[in-house]
Amino acid sequence: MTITQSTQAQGRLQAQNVTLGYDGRQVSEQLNLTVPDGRFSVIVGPNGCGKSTLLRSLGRLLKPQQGQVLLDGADMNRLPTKALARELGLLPQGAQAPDGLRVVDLVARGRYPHQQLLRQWSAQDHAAVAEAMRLTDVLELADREVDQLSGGQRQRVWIAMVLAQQTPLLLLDEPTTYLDLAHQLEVLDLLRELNRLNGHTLVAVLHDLNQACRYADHLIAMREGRIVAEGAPRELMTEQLVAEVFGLDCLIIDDPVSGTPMVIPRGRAG
Amino acid sequence: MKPIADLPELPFATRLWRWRHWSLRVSLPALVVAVALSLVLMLAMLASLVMGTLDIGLAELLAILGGRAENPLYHHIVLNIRLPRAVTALFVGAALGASGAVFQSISRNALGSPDVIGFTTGSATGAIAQIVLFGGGALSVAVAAVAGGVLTAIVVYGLSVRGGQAGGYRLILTGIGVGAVLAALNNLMLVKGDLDDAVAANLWLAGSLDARTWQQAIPVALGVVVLVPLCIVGARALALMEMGDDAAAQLGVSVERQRRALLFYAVVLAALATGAAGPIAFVALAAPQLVRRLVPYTGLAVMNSALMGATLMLVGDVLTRLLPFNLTLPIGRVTGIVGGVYLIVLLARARRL
Repeated sequence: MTITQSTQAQGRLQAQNVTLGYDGRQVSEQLNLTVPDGRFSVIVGPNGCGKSTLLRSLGRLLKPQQGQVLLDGADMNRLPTKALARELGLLPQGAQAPDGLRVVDLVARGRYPHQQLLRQWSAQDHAAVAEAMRLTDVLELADREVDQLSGGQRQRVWIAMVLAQQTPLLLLDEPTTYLDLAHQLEVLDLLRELNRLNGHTLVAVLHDLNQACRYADHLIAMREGRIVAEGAPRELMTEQLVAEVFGLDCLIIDDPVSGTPMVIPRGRAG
Repeated sequence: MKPIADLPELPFATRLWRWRHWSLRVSLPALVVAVALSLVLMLAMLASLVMGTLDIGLAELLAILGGRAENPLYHHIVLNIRLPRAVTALFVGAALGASGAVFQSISRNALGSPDVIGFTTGSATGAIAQIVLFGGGALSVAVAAVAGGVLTAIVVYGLSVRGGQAGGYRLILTGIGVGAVLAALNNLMLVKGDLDDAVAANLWLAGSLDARTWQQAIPVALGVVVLVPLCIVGARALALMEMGDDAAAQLGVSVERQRRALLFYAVVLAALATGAAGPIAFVALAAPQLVRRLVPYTGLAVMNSALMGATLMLVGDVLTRLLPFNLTLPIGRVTGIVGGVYLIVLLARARRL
């Protein structure tokens, strides 16, 4: 059963009938999704349900086998890659900093789509890098080598890199992995701030359902390659949905701090 | 994002050079190393031209180079024997250094050099086949070496691509495998070939700068002049690809297209070098690694790797000619010995491979 509670929101970024997969292995078939503009959307679902695959296709890192991903109505795979990189950024999983690269130089790499061979640096570049580093609180790490940092610091540096890219649309693949709880909340607060203050459209893949409910304006629940349901957390999160998506028997209460839905697991659904 | 009034000073590793609305980011240590290497190169070049069985003084050398030679024999020796040898050494080294830098970046591994992953072996296969089967002139051997290198690259690339992406360990391991097969094939041709041809091929296999003429020097020099600048331009994208294909692609790099183009340039450079001087071991491996130890990392140092490769070759050639007892060693064997030791040191000290 598909309960797609269509919000009919405006969306620059759309997936139309996309079939996704790698080398013959199909992950998703005939997916449709409109990413609501100016909102913080979060994709949730069990491991291997195709969350990251969907996100990578929205970020043109994975070409759909069928269907199209559209940005402002144009097929993304036909847009010039650098122009696209000024509109849409994606923080991938498992990015590696080359040995010896320093924090400030890594963040500066986020400016690549704004530069040309003989116009390698501008005042805007400097301002964007400084602002991204200020927001992620990595200014005092500026001259450290990235591979010498702790996991949490490194993750903030990577986020600074995609922020320096200054794209109105930003996709993040599990931005809170490797972080302790305090840093997870810090990153999520930062993302919400970006969304609220600058009107960035955000899409993140998150593992923690309660964090997803707390921060998302729009939840997208996936299972086995399908989008099972989408909508505002308050309307979407029901015990039935959690059972259907995660196979988890749970109780849903109001989060005493934020008032958003909070999932208390009882155990695996019988 | 909102503009902020006071921008903090940021400790970038590069200096900014501006001219009108153009700007370049330049690493100062890299520039210093480039100038130093260029000076060493010039000195080695002079030494290489002055040294030999016939003593030619510096004043005389300058006169010859200026076209005011008084002695036609000296004129001949400098312009047709010593200069082509030095120019070959220079450009072979530069080609190998640049090629090594590109390969190591693409494979994200110091071991991903053309000499380690079978491309120089493939060039040798082409050259030996030409010598043994058709009896080769200098130019046809060079052409055969390039063809052999490019064919090997296509095979290795084809075997290592999965899901439209190559790179990393898969490229290295496939290359080592293909290289082993080709090395066996090379030996087979030497054993089965006519004795004289086999001797000629074996000499070529030692990697030598002896008896190089302009026929060997010009193709590799042209290759370097055309392809190294292309590699320098591509190095910006390649440096981003070192962060992972996804990270580079989301920044607007056409990852697989860039990788294919730069692999092609690097393969042709390595093959041209091999065609000109035979297989020269370890220059392609060592030059980028030495540069990385001299200059704090900011990106892919194609230019300095080329200069370093040229310096290694030219200085190496001058030094081997200074060895006592007329112990003339082919340069390829010398780089093999020295580079082999360096590789062991590198492996022993590596934090990760």
